[in-house]
Amino acid sequence: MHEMSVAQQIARAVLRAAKREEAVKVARINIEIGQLTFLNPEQVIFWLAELFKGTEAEAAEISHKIVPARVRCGKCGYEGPLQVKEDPLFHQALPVFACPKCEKGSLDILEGRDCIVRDIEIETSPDGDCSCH
Amino acid sequence: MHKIVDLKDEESLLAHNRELAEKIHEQLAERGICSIDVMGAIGSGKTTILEKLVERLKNQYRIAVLAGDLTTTIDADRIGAHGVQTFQINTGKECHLDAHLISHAIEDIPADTNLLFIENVGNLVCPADFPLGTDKRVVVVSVTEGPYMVKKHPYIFGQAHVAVINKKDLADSMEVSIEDLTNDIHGINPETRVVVMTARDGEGIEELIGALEL
Ligand SMILES: Nc1nc2c(ncn2[C@@H]2O[C@H](COP(=O)(O)OP(=O)(O)OP(=O)(O)O)[C@@H](O)[C@H]2O)c(=O)[nH]1
Ligand SMILES: [Mg+2]
Ligand SMILES: [Zn+2]
Ligand SMILES: [Zn+2]
Repeated sequence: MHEMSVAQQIARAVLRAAKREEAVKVARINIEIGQLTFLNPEQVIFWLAELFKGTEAEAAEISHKIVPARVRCGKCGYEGPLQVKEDPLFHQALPVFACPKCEKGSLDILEGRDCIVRDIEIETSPDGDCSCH
Repeated sequence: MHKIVDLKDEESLLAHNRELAEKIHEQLAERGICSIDVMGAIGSGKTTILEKLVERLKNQYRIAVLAGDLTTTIDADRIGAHGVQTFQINTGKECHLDAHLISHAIEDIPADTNLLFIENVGNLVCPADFPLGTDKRVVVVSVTEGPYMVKKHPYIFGQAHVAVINKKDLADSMEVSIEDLTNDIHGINPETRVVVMTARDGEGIEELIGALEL
């Protein structure tokens, strides 16, 4: 639901870094989207492509990775993935916000709630000089 | 020359909201204010529940209510009519409240407040992404939204301390099973307290106050 605001922040970070590093071109952008966010990856990428038009990131290849949820139990110290159970009626995976070990419901979410740029690949001199292909 | 630039530690919008929410939580605790975020589907009865709560609790606590709404002051006016301090937060086009809006709104609430309710914008999706830093989170669903609301929105129910199933009076005519809804909630989080209400008639209000430990 907030793909555009998230994309705006990512675009700002990418363009700021490109400028700082004196990039002539951003070739690749790797983003990470948490499993627990309500962000549709296709839509985030769509907005990024829109926002990059006319910038040094215009031709960047944007790829994404889904970051699974990781939780920690406040009661027994369990650390690991969030439990999911199959809904028998609708064949849908339902998350379970209870600890898989002690079954208490005091979980802290450690990972899976963000959308970030992991890294970008830039070109710092015009294509011709590039010896790394 | 090609170069990889690591941007992992750049600020993330959602992480930024969570950090602000933590600050709000500390500030409210320092000021001795107990805080409750009331989230839920559009029209599920959030304002009705808040009206009943403040009516019942206003002699015990010094209450302030922040009412989030896209553009109108209708909900704030309805709650304000019960004689408690009410503050409108208009979100404009945004479909949820965020910690930044709340951080400013709490500057305005009276210094002697000791109980704060926040009515979030009617929405079961994004308030889950944008915690506000309250002590407790309540999510309201009513039988008129049909039997699948919980399964369709597991995250918001999974992170709520209390889930209200409202409009019990209409359950039969809607052919919605309150028992099934309750089981769905407990399937997602066995520790979420479920309170069944007919808020319009004040039914279930004592159970809700108990579940909120007020
Ligand atoms: N039958 C019945 N109607 C109810 C009950 N509780 C609330 N309502 C009605 O439901 C409608 C919506 O109630 P509100 O309290 O305004 O709901 P809300 O969640 O605050 O709505 P928004 O803020 O607009 O999302 C009103 O007409 C209420 O009178 C109930 O227990 N039973
Ligand atoms: Mg309302
Ligand atoms: Zn545990
Ligand atoms: Zn929203």
